[in-house]
Amino acid sequence: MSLAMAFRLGWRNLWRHPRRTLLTALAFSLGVFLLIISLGLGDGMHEKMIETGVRVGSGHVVIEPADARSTVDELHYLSADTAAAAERLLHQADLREMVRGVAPRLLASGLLSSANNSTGVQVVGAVPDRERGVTLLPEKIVEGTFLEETGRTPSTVIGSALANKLGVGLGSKVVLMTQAGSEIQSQLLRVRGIFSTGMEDVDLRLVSMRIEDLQLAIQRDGAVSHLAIFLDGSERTEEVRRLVAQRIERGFDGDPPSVLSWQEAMPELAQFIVIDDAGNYLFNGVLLFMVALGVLNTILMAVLERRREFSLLLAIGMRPFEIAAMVMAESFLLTGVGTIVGLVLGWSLHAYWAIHGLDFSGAMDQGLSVAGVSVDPIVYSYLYPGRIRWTLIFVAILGFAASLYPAVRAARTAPSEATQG
Amino acid sequence: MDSVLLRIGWRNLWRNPRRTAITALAIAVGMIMLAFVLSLMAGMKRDLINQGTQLMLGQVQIHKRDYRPDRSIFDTVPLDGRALADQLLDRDDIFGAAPRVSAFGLVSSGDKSLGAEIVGMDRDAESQVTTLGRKLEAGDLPGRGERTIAVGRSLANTLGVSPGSELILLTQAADGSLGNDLYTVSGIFRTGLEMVDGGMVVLDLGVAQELLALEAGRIHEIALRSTSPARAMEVAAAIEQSLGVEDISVAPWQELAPQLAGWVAMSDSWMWIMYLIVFVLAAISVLNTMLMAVFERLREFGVMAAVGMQPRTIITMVLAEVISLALVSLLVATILGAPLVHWITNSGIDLSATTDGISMSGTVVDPVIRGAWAPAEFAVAAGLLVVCAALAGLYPATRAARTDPARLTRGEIR
Amino acid sequence: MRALIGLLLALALGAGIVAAEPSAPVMDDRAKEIVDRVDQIMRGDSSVARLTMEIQSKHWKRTLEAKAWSKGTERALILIVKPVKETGTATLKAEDNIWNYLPKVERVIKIPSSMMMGSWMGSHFTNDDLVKESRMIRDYTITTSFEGERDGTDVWEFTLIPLEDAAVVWGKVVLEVRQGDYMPTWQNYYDEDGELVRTLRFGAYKEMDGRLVPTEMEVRPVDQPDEYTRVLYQSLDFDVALDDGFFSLRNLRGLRAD
Repeated sequence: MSLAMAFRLGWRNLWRHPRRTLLTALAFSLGVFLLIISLGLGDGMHEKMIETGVRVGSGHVVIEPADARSTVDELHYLSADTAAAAERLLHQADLREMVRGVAPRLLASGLLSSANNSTGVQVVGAVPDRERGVTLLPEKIVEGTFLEETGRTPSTVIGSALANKLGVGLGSKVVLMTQAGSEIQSQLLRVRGIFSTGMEDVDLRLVSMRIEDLQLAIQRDGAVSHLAIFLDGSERTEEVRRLVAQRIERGFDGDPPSVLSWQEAMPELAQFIVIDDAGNYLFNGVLLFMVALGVLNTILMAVLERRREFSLLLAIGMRPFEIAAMVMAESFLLTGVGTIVGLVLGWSLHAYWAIHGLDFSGAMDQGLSVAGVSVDPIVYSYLYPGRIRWTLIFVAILGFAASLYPAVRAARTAPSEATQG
Repeated sequence: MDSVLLRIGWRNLWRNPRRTAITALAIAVGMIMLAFVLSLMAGMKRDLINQGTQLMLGQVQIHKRDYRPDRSIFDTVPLDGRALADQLLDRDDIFGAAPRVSAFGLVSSGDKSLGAEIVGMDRDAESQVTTLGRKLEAGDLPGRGERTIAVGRSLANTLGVSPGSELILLTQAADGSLGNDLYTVSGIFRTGLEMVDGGMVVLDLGVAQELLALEAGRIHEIALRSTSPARAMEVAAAIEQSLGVEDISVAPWQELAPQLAGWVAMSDSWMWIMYLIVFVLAAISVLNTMLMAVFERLREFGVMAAVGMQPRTIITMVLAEVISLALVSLLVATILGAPLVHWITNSGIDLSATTDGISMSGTVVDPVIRGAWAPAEFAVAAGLLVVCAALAGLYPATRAARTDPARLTRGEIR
Repeated sequence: MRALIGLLLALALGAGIVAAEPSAPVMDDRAKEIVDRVDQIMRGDSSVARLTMEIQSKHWKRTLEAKAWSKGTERALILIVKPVKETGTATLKAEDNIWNYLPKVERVIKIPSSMMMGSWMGSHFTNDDLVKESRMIRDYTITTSFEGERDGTDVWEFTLIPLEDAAVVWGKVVLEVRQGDYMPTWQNYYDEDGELVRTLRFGAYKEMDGRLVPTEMEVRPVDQPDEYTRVLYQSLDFDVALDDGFFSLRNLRGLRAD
């Protein structure tokens, strides 16, 4: 019996019980459909969280002094030479193609005062041209500009909540007190921009100014706290991190700076995503298990019903494996049709949500944030590359596993059963 | 229902054991999967809320009404706070009540000084409410009356202190004086939250009150643990009402951490969608199997009708069969499903091995997915599945009972 | 007197204005001269003062007795004498830094930038007020905004506008000086929108160590009208011999009022 024949027979057999076949195929396509949209929404939400996190934080990959992470003070700097050398590495052709932007930053903590109030802040010294287009703050400016003006007084951009707390607006002056070594330095700044990210902590605590102004204020000429590296999407993070780390290890004698991925820089977010993903996989696993069981059930029923038919076929000389092939073909067709329908529907909805997004804001009263990163209540579906391929492989294995037992069962039918009732 | 019919139904089931086994298995697997999913949902929700509340927040907090968000040290609860905490423990719905004071101050060691939040807490009371006491990397939280201090890991690194070192605290006391004292480091905690590990120090409640020049009854906050986080809202409302003090606010965690509440709501709605789909799949599976099983027997029903059996009797008999089947399924589901649910609720799935490169130790998020028992939800789900099975069985049976027996026996209806 | 002006108040009185840089924009020369003279009255190379500080806030009322030493604009030391609970607590200011000596724990603590806006000893002065004064030397442009009789006394009113790049939070500072004896009467602090934020009143003019000085000052935050901090001088000695070593961390410990 040819394969084509097995399929033709299988197809015909399926339509002997149209209701049963349709219900099973429906269940299967529902499973595949749901798998795709849940992967799409999950990936979309996670990617958005990662993007927000890295854009408000230290990039997909960060180069920083080796000892920067164990303490809370910021007295760890990359020297101007080290920072320049690290930047040169990033300009090598293969990296440049993957890297969308590199932003050198200088961090300091300080006290920001107006005539009315004062509060502790985290200061980020930045190069405006390097931030624009890659990081969040320049995009979230609601008033003024992102450090564009240079005047006699250094410019600063502050969050909307901080502006409220200090009672200042665009053009107001504020005094930043920072610790420069053992000395306290005061620096007058003009508020030239106000941003609003919707993240409480960021809007209340983060202050940005030009890196050279901050270097001057804390008397650290040319110092850089880290180099934030931004990529197009998070998928190639590990690849870039490894490449950069290798080159830095080769290129530096003595104490090389360390190279961290966003997962290491933001472990809370990384863990959250791992757990959330695992939860989704579990749900999907349950779902597909049930779908597969439905297929198994349907095919097995059909096989048991047709014992007489099989033994007849055996009696007229068909070989057991041919019978098994026929049953497998039946199951393959059933799952194939279910998969295609589920895939088409799932992909369509995914494509729609990729553009229009799914609004979850009805489910909650206010904004969300996880591990300090805000979550947009409108989730745009997104699938990491390979998701569809793996879905298909997984579903195929599942379909195969579900048909295995009925096929074996059918093949083992004794020819004598034909004559028994 | 006639006991005779029930017996017939039961016996009918075992006339074709293979068919019955497959059908019962389909229903049982549906029930098991629903139980598993419900357990996961309850567990994940519980863990999410716990991870958000148990470290420091507690499920309910009591403050003076104006205390949040400015946290002025003068805004103490306008009652004897310690007495109030003790008194709340008498309530059936309260497991733990931890009174606290808190202030901003300077932590200093050698020539290094850092600003930090100084929290005074009673170690024993706190252990009934929060898990900070279990996050100690070295040493312990200060015990009652001990002039010691516990600090976070990154703060300890920055100041270069370890248990046994001395630290000075400097803060504005409530009487206007400069509160200052010397403390020995009793322990170092690591919670994974940078805000806590790098910005908080812990004193014994009484010792902190002395530093802040607050009398023993004056406290800023009482954190409570009730029987379940799900009840936080009603517990908070009940306490606020029973206190009847206008100036005291009793807030559940949903109010204290709206971001967490929002996240729980979002993940809840997502899980219910998943659950609904799992249920639909289970229902389809039951429907499919049941329809097959009954349609196979249309001829049999036809014969019954032909020999004069009332349609009602036939329907009742099928119903008896379905109920017997459901009981068998429930038994199978319990036997097979209980170990699964037991495993997911007790052991859970440990993800720490699968997370390449990400250190999960010493962090807020527990890398284990665990379920929780949800008997009520499961009973509803199982009941609905049985109804599905009954409908799936009754539909062909009703049709069979009402149709011309002659056509049925010829097998003209499928 | 410098001990006070310099230490407690960041007044920008005198000391602040004297050394205004030649590069400063259009300056009312006579105004500068007068403010300079006011400052001359208030200052000596060094000073030793005994004073009382009354603090009235929403939550407490307390009185501190202290002794204060100063030298130039950069160095000052205050020792708390009463209440007993805080006896021996001392604050050292040297250039831009502040250290506190805490007798209870026998330790010296340097105030970090994050605490500079914190209250000094529970008063309405911040730690920053203690250090700001020396910087204000370079920080203001002075003009005469009023000249003539007010309440029967001839006065000048000077408006001090911070220079463009001065690290000063105020929008402007307005100061009134009596024409007859160059005594300051009040000084008001405004934010950039012109809202009054803090007021300072002088009074009880008396001769001490041969100089007429205001022996009472009172600061009030405008948004808390019932609160104030009042400083009263019992004695003031000028041009006392104090070497730089006196203003050292070592000397902070075991300092006595006598």
